[in-house]
Amino acid sequence: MGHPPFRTLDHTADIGLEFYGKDLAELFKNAGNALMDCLVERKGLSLKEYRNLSAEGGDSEELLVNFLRELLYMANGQGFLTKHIKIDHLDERMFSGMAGGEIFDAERHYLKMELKAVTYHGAIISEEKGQLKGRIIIDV
Amino acid sequence: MSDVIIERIDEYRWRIPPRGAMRVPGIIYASERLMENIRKEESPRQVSNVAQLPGIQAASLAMPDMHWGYGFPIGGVAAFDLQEGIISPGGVGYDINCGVRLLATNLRFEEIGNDLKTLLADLFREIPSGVGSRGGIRLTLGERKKVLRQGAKWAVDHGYGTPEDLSVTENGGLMEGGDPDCLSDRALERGRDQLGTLGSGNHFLEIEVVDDVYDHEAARAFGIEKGQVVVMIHSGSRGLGYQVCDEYLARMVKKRQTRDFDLPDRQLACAYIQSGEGREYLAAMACAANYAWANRQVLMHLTMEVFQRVLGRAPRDIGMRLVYDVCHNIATIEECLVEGVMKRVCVHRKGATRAWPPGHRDLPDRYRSVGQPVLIPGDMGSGSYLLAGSELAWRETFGSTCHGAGRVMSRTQAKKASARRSVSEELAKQGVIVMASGKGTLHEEIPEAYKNIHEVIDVVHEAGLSRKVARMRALGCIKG
Repeated sequence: MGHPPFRTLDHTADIGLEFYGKDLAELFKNAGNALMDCLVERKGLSLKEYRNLSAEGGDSEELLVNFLRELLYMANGQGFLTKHIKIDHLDERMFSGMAGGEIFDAERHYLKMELKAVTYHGAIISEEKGQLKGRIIIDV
Repeated sequence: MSDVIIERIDEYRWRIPPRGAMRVPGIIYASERLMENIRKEESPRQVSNVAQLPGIQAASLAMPDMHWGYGFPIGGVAAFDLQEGIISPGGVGYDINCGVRLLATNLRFEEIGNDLKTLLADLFREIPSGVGSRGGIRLTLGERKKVLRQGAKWAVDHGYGTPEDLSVTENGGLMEGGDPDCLSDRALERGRDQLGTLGSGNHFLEIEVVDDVYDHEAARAFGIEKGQVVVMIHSGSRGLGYQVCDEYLARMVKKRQTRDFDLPDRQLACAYIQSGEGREYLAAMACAANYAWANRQVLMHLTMEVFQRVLGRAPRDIGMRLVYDVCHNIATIEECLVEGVMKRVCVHRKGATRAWPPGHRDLPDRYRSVGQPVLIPGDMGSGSYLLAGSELAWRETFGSTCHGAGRVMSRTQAKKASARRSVSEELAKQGVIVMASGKGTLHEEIPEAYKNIHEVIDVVHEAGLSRKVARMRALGCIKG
């Protein structure tokens, strides 16, 4: 059906991401993939290990931002690039699961750009034509 | 388009009257032409959102290079009462104390012609740049904490530069009150090996020549003359700063329900300056600001080493010295003129530069008669400006002016617009050699992706927010 799982939105000074899902779980996975796709050539990533990934939030939007903040920290702070997201538990206030991927290797991986942070500005999850749509803005 | 009401005051000033939850008006400094673009985006709405925050003084301001930010607009300036006001991590930005420093030399343009390529190639090799770049300075945790408390002074004490450098760095290169205990392990860890690294995106190191001098008296005081070779460095607090902003913002977003005021945008999350969280953020932000000053101090030292090696002359012998160092993403507690009365306030400058007027008591002696040097980096092709602070900025903008050109094209648009072009060849034809770590950087940073810097500068000059002193043209540029 129709559109791809995620796309990049054009902003003057930053980058917006839009992603879709039939449910919250798919939405979160696609959001995570959209973020990593912005950061790195995902095709070149291997699934070498899984690390714990968890986040909390006062509502689903805050949770979404916090979940993406955590993924970005793993990449920027620990050099761990996520290829696959496994969800153990997800409701509107809590995410727990695993991030599968590998440590950055300058020989094999190409980082597309520096992503400074995932912002709360305009973060939204809405329902559209029977599926969920999310949007966030990244500071680059 | 924004539905905010904007009234014209005079040629360069526009007012957003206080409506709804706005506590003060908004004032935008722009020409009619710049305003046409500004009206198309959400940034005037962001100016009015900032005007709703508790304790805001006089007006929510925006400089002519303003553009859409998140929360605060880029180019936004706002001052808050120390008792009733707030501090906002989003009003500072992720790259805490992102800033610019200008180094002068006694070299003439003609003198380095043959060495320029070697200088750039060596600078590119010696100064780590690019996404996640890591530096050669490895410090113990204890030593890193000293950097966070002492800022540029730490660098000087460890052989990177001289004590005179501190006197020509905003705030002496040190924000008091930095407390590393207010930083998470993650933030501390991210500062482990990024001291002396340039970073990526719009950060750069540039060898420039002074192309024109407008204010000879000020130029003389700053030690600047036409035809002289100078170096401009644009960098900040790197991953440590991003992490500090990110974590405190998340904390403040989490607590938003317990606040006694509404936030028009989560990214404006803030805390009362006098609250525990507010004080902790200030102490953490000070650490990041200090890290950035130490970073630029080390970057300057590395630059001087390369000049010495390539030219075979000591920095002293070629008159290599720091002219000034400014921050353009910061919140500081300063004594300002607020509606005609001197008052200590917390000034947020997010994409704006402090511009103290002639006679300000805290300026270094040799600059006091002409005002604070203000450094405005332009895009790769258009050059950069050296300005001086003004009396009007002191009266109207808490001593603040613009910070750069501001983007007009998104990175995707810029990439598309330049997809089949060789940006480096185009710039080479204009006499600018560029080297970049990231494959896409040069395309994202093409000159036309930015507002016309000359137009922005003309507005601040004509409006009286600062005076044009000199214009510099890039000879060679290193990008991350």
